[in-house]
Amino acid sequence: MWQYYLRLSLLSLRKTPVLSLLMVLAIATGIAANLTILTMHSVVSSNPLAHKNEQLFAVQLNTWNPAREYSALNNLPPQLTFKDAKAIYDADVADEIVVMQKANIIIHQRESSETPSAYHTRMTTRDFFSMFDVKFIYGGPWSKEADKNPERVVILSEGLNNKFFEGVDSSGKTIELDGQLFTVMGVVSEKWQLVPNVYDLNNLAFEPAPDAYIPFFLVAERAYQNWGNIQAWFSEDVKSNQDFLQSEKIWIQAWVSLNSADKYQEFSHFLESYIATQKERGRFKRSPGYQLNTPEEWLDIHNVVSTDNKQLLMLSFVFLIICLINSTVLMLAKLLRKAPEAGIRRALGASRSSIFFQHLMEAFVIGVAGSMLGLLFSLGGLAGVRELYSSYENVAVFNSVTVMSAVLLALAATLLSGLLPAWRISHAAPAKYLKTQ
Amino acid sequence: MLKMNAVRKIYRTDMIETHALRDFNLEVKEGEFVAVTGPSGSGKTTFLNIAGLLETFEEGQYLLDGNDVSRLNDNVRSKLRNEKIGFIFQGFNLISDLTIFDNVDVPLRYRGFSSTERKTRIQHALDMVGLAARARHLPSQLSGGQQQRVAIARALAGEPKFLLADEPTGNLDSLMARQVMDMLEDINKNGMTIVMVTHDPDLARRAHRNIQIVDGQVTDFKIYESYAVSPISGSPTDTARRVDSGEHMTAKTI
Amino acid sequence: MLDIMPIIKSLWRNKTGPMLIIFQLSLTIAVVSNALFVVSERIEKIERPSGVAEEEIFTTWVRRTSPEGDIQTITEKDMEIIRTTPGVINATPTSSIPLSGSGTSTALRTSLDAGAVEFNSAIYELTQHGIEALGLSLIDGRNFNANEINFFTRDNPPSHSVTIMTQDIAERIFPEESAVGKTVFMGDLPLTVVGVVERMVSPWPKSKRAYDAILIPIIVKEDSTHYLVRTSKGDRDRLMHALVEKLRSVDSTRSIGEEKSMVQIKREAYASDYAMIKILSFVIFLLTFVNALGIFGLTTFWVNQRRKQIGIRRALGSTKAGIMRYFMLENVLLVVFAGVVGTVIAYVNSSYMARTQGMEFLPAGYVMITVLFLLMVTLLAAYSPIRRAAQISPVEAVSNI
Repeated sequence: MWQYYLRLSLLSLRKTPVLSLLMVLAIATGIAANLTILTMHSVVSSNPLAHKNEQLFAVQLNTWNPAREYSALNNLPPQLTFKDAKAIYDADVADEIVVMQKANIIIHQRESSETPSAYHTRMTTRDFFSMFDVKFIYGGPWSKEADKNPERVVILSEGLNNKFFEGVDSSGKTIELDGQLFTVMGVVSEKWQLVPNVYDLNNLAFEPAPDAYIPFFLVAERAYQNWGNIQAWFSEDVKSNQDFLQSEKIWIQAWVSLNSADKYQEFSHFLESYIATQKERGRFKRSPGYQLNTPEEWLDIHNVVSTDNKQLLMLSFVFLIICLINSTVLMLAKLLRKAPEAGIRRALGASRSSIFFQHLMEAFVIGVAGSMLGLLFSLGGLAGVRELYSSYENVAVFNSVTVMSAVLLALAATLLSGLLPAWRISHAAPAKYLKTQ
Repeated sequence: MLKMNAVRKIYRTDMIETHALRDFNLEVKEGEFVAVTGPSGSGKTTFLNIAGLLETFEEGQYLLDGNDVSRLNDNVRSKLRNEKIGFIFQGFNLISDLTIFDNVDVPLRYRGFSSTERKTRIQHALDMVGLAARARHLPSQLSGGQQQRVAIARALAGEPKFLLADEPTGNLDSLMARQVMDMLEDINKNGMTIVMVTHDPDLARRAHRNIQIVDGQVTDFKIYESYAVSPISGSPTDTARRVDSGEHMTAKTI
Repeated sequence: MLDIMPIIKSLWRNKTGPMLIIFQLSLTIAVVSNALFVVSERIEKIERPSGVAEEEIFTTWVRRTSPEGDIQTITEKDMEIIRTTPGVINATPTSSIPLSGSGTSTALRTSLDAGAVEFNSAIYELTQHGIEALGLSLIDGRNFNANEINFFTRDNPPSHSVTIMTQDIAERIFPEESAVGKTVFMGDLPLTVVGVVERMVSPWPKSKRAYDAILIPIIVKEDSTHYLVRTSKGDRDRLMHALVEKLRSVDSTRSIGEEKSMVQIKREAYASDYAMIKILSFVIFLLTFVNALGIFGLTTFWVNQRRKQIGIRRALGSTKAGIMRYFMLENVLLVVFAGVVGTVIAYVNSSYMARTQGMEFLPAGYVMITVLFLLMVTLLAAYSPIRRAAQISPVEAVSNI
């Protein structure tokens, strides 16, 4: 029977090409707008560490001004001082611990005559690579020893490896960082990227992955140029790198991995007792003294999904509804015309549901056509979004969520725009349309 | 075949109540060719709609082919319409976008016949009305008479229990009208019950029996002796013969 | 002539279609008026004057790799080269760049007492050429003198200095009086205010007090810094590339890059606002288009459905213009009803947004403009089918088919 309905639908649509086209366009536009925004939103609001959400924690220590709380985010400072970061690292309580900063470093090949350039470098401890599921194409992370007694080792991004070493396995080769020779330990795949970059939300939430990684504690040797954010609640006399490391300035991101409830307890206790000892030295005058945040909480605190995003999401749904209503109205008008035929069929013995499904099929065909066209349009829409938001290179792309949403939207569009008209025509009294006597 | 007892049909709008049929009684036996006549506004249309299960009624009883179909729901009525009744309309009511073949096919689709069964029936029906050669044409490519013959084929394809015709020759010229009426008579001779609603007395004369409706009720049956010499409806002797054979019955005796 | 009631009655009799259209139009009105409001808000935000000569400025980042040489000497030499290039108006090294998101800020106090109030402010470390390089206007006091410029290393900071404030922060710290001659403390460092500039935006234009900034002539000697150059308008891009090349040739071990015009920096700073403006404008266009198409299709069909009625009207004496007026009026009525419903929707949404997201309440003008706009669009869309309706001949009244 559905083949019969399909044939009748196609015939009917061909009879009113302009109107059918208008309906298809209306649905396509609505779906395209919705899909584009949904895709954008699904990535912007996604948690790339969702699979580890209960194990990873961003550490906040409340070393801030006793007189006034930290004025942004969740009113706790988002970064640590060097003293505290080192203390937590040395205590080695957590299953994995990462302390890091974002730096800019001049990376250059000694023999090369090219003018040197500065690159986005992450100074971090080695657990970073396991904690954030970093993928290597060559080599691997440095050893724990290289962390503690920092060695001059570097891990390059695939892009930088292509630039300096023509893409071959550069493990063991050397390269100059800020004028000092470092040895390459490995190369990170260009496909690895956390979107949004949960591990460091101090600058932008959608930054490209770092160009290079070096051991964090090299900061004890000399001053590295910070490319993130340094904050302080009072003005300190900082004359040297040592002064800087001993100061109350905050500039370090800290993450721990706590794989069981017991570990969580253990680490919390450790923090509490650490804070207690620090209190005796006059620090940590605010409460709460600390906070551990899951990646999801961290994203929320930083308001990664902007108000604009949320507004646009709502807008896209309203837009879709408008388009659907438009399509319904046009379908109603179209079916009004077909009422006499429906009357004849009823007289000849078609039940109400037969008429209903016959015309629902028509809406279905339009819905399918509109959805496919809408998918095409949304490719354009996403390209437009990438144009507009330069940092959304990895955000505005199709993913499985998008495709699923597309299918659901299509179904919804079809049913919604077709239900009312199909119902109407199936319930029309046939006698009225038979032009009897 | 068809029996209505004390049927009452009331149309209600905001302010007016119209009794379209009141205390309506009628019986049609199997194999009869009955004409239902009456002036406009008399209730012919309502009768047709009720007889064709297109409308329900408030009071009374309707027995179709032995079954009481008075209070059935829409789905059952649709099914019965599909299986037992063959409709023929004044305006032909063919679906203009479909070919002749597909038009005859329509009621068969709702019957659930297999594809082969449908094809056989359509072929047979079109042969019966002599239009098998035009199966792939559209209604707009046929004359009025031919369209009505297609409608007849459509009505017959499902082997209904009776045909319900609404002014079948109303939109046809006299030549085509005669052809269609000849065809209906033939079909009736082969055993098909036909109920024809018309306001044309000449047409009515070709039926076995006339039932007259006035103001929603069946009135006394009238013999059209006064029209016996009208040249349109055939030879004078035909009618006279029918009158003599006494095949008329009054409403009251049924 | 203006027989509205019959039109309303006939719409009511067959209400499904008209109700859906009214719903569609009213949602459109709510959405479009809101979008227009947001767009105008954003444009206003972007067009706020920054106080600097946006079209004429570019910046570049300079970072040295070898520790040889004195930063002050190097910087002064670079400045000499830049400022003597024809087309350059002036140039200065700077620690922060307006609108760029990169810079330093501090908390200023008027006294060193424990409970002294703190005023957050952005800091621009500049030379005396800074004011002209940025295109700022001095409204009180004076510019820095050459001898006030002080390059220092962190282990040997100055014990006092001077500062020039923006009017915004001057009024905040010293309301109702001239700030010139007063002292503020940056940490423990006393700064005597020698001048006030009218307006200068900080590196963070979206912060609440985006125009609180101070200029100081004390410059930390660091391996990296920014140079800010102002040129005559037409020469900017050409000079930007030329000067970067020139600086590279001075010392090829330096990393010189990220040269950007202030215009580009501003565009990047407001990128999300530009994006929102473009997206919303596109949405407005699309909605208008969809509605116009819908009205066109619908009117065509309604006209066809009522051919007989139109024929009857004409047979009874209506002129062609009368038919057109009837349908136009029907259209107008629908839009008016939609306008009422749309206004309600827009306001319910606006007050919800104001309450939960702290957004501004929608001003009445936007809804009115939208209704008028939509009225115009729908009438235009319906014009062609309505005109065809008027061509229907009275014969239709009697035809039976």
